[in-house]
Amino acid sequence: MAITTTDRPDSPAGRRSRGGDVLAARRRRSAAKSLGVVTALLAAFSVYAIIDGGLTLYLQRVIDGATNGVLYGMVALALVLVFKATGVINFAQGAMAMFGTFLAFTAVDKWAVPLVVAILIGMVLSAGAAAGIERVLIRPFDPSNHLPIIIVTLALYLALNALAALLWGFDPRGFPTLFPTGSDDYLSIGGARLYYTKLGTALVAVAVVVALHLTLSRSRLGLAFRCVASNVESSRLLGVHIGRTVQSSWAIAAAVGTLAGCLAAPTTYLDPTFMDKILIYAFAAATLGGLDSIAGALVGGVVTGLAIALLTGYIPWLGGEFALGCAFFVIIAVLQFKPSGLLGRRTQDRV
Amino acid sequence: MAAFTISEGSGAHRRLRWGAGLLGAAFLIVLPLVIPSVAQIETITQIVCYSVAILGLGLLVGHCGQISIGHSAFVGLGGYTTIILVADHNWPYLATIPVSVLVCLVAGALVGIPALRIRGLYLATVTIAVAALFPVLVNKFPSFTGGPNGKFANEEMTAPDWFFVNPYTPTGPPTDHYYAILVVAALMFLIAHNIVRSRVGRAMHAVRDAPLSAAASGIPVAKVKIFAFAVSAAFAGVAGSLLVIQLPAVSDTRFDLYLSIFLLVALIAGGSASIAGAIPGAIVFVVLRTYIADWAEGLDLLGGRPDGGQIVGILSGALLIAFVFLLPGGVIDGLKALRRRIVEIVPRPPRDWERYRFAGRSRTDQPAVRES
Repeated sequence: MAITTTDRPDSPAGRRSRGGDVLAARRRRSAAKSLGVVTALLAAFSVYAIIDGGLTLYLQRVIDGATNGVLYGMVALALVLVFKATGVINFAQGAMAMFGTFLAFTAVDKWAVPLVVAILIGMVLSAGAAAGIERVLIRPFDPSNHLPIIIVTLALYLALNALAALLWGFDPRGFPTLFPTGSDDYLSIGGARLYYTKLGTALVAVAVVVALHLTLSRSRLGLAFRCVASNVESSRLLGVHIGRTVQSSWAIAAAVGTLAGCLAAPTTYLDPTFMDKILIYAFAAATLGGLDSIAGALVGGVVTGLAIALLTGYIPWLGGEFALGCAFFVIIAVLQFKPSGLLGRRTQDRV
Repeated sequence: MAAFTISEGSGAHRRLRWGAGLLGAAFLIVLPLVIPSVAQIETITQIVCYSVAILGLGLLVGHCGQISIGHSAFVGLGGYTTIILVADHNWPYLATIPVSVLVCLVAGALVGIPALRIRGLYLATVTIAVAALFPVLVNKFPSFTGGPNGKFANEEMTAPDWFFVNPYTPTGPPTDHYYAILVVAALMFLIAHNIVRSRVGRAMHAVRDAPLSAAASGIPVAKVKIFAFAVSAAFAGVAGSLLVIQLPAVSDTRFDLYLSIFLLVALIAGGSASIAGAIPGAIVFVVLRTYIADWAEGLDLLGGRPDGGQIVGILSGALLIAFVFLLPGGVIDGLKALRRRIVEIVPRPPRDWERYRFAGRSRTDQPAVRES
């Protein structure tokens, strides 16, 4: 096990800034290098794909993969938010998003509110519920002991899935979309079709990621997030309210997850298990991007989406149902070759 | 306060342990002979099978501090290994168990090496993908696995002629299966007990409690974790083989993600850091998955939809949370607390404790002993 101690102010005061710069530069180089490797792999496969099936088909698959990947990136973003603040992977993230999507669906279906309002209602309700769950079920545990917290998130997964199945049943339902869905509502790119729904979804997702990235890198809340993530004890001494910080990370993550669910539901149909696969793709995306990097979540999502679309599309033996296998291999490959992910930081411990 | 106090290793303690052991063994041996119903014998046999899987998961979660949500895949791998060897290659059932062990050890190591080499909760993410992937893989190779139709063996396992159970009664064959499975399971419990008490078992505890200190004292942390995961997968594989001996039919839906999560529920309910906890855990598992599921199936909730079975999921989630909050040591911890009300067993002082006594003070009382 490697025990490194980067990010630590070096003892001679003069070296502090230089040391930081060197580390930052090393991190940037490492990220650039691994992004380059991934791009090279994708490019090499693309050459094969274009020769194999023609440009139009290739473009179509890239568009489909990237737009799906943006959604995986959004769910990965929710995972990353909770991971950054607590160091725990929330296995109930998909179930919470599914529940929020059902709430939005109920608002549209029963109360006939406009879809935008319904999605906002779903996001607010799930954020509130997540804040409550954090307060009641997560906060009582020692934040440095991850095992019981993970078990609680698994219990939540089980209970939320069952509750949704009980309330709404297993029949798949159509979910309305925010964007025009006509058969000719698309942009034509080299013969491939980029439907407005997919484009809109991707734009919303990118906007959310950019907004969150800016918020968390510029605001006091973001500072508190990073503070809690790096050292609980010191943050407490500095007067950061640990519980409230973690609580807000759970709330924001749940709202982002619900938004992702509402954007994914029109294409996948809505039933209590519709987020399960997406959650696993999101694990792959988060691992690939680096579990503690918000931008990495989006990059990881797009790359995962592309990898799934291209591999299952061009290797006939794999077939469509093997997307889960692709996600699995992405996770394994990242852990084997670059455990901190494309844009993540290496974790450090002091003995 | 306890009614009796005996010290560990004394004659009374030995007699108590032997007595309890013999009583338990006699109970398990007589059990199928006094039960008249085939269904109940099968239920008990299932409890024994699942207890082996839960035992393996306990080695990983309770003793090594890693969490796996993919044990359904290893149970399935063991089950499919047995059924393929029996149905396609005419192997005897029991001879397939070592093959299951080997297959699952290798598969566990292959999954564990990338995930456990590095610190953190990566094993959980990898194994949840493994659990989701396993049914897909089963359907990918229908010529081996039978695909979505499942796979069956034509002949059940039969006992040799000298065996005392009459196979020509309705309860005969299930009783034979029960005894075979019981013997294998007892062996697995013995192996687990010895692993935990061995050097590598102590290393597992150190890795669980303080990974950095363990590394600092020379324990190869990654190797110990990979060992724990592979062994745990092998236990799950044995459980899969035993399940096939009990019922020689497998299908992809039997080994889904929910099986993994329910195994975890059972482990936590039984007591994760205890070998014996696997038994109450398996009882909880089977009761939840069969009796309560059957009961809830008939419930008429929310206007006539037959989704009452979902109550099981909600109950299990609630149960899991309740145990983590109220009784983190599981049922077995509760039972131990009860026993302590009757018999207090005073641990033996560590060997050569006098050498390590604080110099300069003559203490005649016993040294501080470890908390149980």
